Amino acid sequence: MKLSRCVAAAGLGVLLGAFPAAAHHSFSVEYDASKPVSFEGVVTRIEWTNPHARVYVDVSDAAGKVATWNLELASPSALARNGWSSRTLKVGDKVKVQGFDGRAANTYRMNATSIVLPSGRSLFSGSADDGSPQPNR
Amino acid sequence: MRKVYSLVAVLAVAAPPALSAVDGLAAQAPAQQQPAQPQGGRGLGALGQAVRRPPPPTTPTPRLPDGTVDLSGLWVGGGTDGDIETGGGLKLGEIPVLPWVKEYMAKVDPTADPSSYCLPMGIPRKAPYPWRFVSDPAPGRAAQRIFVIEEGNIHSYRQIFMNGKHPDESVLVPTWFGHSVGRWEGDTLVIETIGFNGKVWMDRRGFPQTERASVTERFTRTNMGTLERVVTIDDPGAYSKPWTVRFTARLSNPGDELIEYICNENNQYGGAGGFGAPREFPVIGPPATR
Repeated sequence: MKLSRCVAAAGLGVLLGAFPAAAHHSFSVEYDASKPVSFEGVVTRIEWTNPHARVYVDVSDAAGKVATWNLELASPSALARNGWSSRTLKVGDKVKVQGFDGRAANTYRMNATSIVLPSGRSLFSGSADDGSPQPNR
Repeated sequence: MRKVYSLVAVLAVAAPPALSAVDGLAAQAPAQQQPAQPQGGRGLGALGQAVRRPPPPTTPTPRLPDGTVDLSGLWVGGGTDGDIETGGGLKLGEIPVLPWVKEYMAKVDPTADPSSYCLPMGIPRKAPYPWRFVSDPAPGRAAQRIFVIEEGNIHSYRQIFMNGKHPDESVLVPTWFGHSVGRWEGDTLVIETIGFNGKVWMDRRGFPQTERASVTERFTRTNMGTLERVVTIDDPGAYSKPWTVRFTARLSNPGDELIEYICNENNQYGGAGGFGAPREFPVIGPPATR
């Protein structure tokens, strides 16, 4: 798996629209909209829990060192209403992930905005309604 | 770990959503403040909690056999989480805060919102999750109690004593949701609540609600799919005069039901932000009294 981490916020404003709102917690106290992250990795654990579902993904850097990222998703109820179930993703699935890094350094925690399966199916994830930047589509 | 940095702009654009978000933010943004998104349109772009919903039905307001308005159904919205002032139809600065509140809010720690630690949002704050009225003893008979069953923010409920009275202040125990009595005024359900514990943040900005607060809600089902909620907050402990906010709830999708939401199950709040839970959630009030 290859890790590519994007901190280039330059083009971000074009892609993402700031969005006021709310949910379990404010996006901005936990995550940094100026630190988008993307990588490919392998799902190692799934927690279909409240207030947020979580997916843990092992990611290797160029030197082969593995880091486990903790992906914060929406609530199971919101995910279910969008067509997810606790069985949508499985341990061992290879995924492409996008999201935003935590404010605290090196915690390997992110607010996930997209998870794409090898089949190309894109899954919802981000804990929206929380003030997080959202793709403008 | 050496990180390889690269632009992911292409990926960001190329990853289409499985569903297009349409109106999920109706959950906390009432229709009159944020017009409903066109069905299947560009939508709000939100992920996760932005749930795709068709426009609510506009058929006539349903009624029970005795003629009373039937409030049943799964509702979404009817309150706000983020900003009660603009979300409730007011302009910024319009809520008549007392000087201590202005000072308090200028310094409030945004990480200390009790609701982020799975404590109640109180009244009138609403999480972006569905809720419903349930009558006791049964629909079709004069209700002795009406319950509001909330999926989120913490799987809670409110209890409204119909045609009841508040306990005397000497025995009233302050609580997160207070003590509610209800009555019908024509086709409008009026709920008056006192006995708050003073710990609630009325929105994410931190508008306080003191133990002196009285909240009056007026629910009117204007058609099958629309429920207007007008809320007046009279809290001389924090505000110089009563103020009113307006929200609209909409009927959720046919077949949608409440889903379990046990907030404390796996709350990792603060882990990514690098802060821990406050050790206590204080009663909020002017410095001289605390």
